[in-house]
Amino acid sequence: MRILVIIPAYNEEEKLTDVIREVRECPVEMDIVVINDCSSDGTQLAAEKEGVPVITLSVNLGIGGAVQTGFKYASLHGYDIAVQVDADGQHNPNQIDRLIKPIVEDHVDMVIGSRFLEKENNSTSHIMRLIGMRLFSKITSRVVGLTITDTTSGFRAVGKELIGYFSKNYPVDFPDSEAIIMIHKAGFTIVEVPVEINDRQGGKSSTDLGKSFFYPLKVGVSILSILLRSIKKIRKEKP
Amino acid sequence: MTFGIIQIKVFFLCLLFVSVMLYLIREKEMKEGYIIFWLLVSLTILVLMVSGRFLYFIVSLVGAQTPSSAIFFFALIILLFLNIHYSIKITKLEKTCTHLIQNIAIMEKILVSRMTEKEERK
Repeated sequence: MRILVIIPAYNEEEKLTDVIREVRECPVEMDIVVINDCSSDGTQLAAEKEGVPVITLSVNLGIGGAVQTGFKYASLHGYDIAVQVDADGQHNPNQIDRLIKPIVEDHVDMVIGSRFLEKENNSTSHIMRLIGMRLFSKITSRVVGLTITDTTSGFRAVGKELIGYFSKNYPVDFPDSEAIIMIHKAGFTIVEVPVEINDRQGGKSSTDLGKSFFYPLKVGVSILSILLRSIKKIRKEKP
Repeated sequence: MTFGIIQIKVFFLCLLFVSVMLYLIREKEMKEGYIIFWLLVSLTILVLMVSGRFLYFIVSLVGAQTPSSAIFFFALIILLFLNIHYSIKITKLEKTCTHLIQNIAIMEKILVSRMTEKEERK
């Protein structure tokens, strides 16, 4: 079974080397690809020094666009599982096996590493950010009819079929909640596993809730758009 | 039919507008579909200017007090829909750009890897 670790990176030269080395120390054999999202620092050089393939985007596409590039790469090279790991050191690569397990054993399509599933979370995120994360999780859970405790987690693993789906359809603007709702409506299965997520150790967050006043509104609109699309689909399917 | 100062000004404005459109056609700066739309807009303005009856018919149709408010009403509606149309176009263009940027980056990576492999074999 071929596994690819996708590391989207934007100006993460400080932590990227450590993250790559931690992934390599995992007992599971995995390939790595770094998606350099048009960084202006030494991100590309840091990845190349570690001898991992680097795909450099000529224009900054944001986290969604960078991750989808990784899925396209995984689809093109026939990988069975793709794992998304942030380049800022927030995710512990030694927990990747927890993410992969449900895909291998239970043929689940997407596994989300949740920091809220168990109370062992040591994150000291800003209170507003935590409230935002909880709120989106509640909305997403209500919409999909499943309990999703951490929709904003970027620590995710997806199976082969979903890699192909994401390579063609991925909500590049707001991948957090929208991706979950989208694949649920498309009939894919989702589970959460508990993980520990560290506080950011370098770079800047791509989804800093405090930075964008309109962020919750935009996410709300993106959720609404999926719901409207699914209603349209159901109407078409009816004889 | 009498032409006042306003009508003459509007006529020259339309003439200038049509000239700009013709220049844009010649330079291929704008797609034909857009040119047709803007030519129709200038034609409508000309018709409204020449035919006072047609203008007052529209005013009565809308129930406006003055011709200017009727013109502003229609102009706003048209511009609003035009903006929505452009928003759709921009969204489609952004999607196309994203896919192109992603695919170019992946192809570039594959090309470089193959070239490196070839050089290593040599």
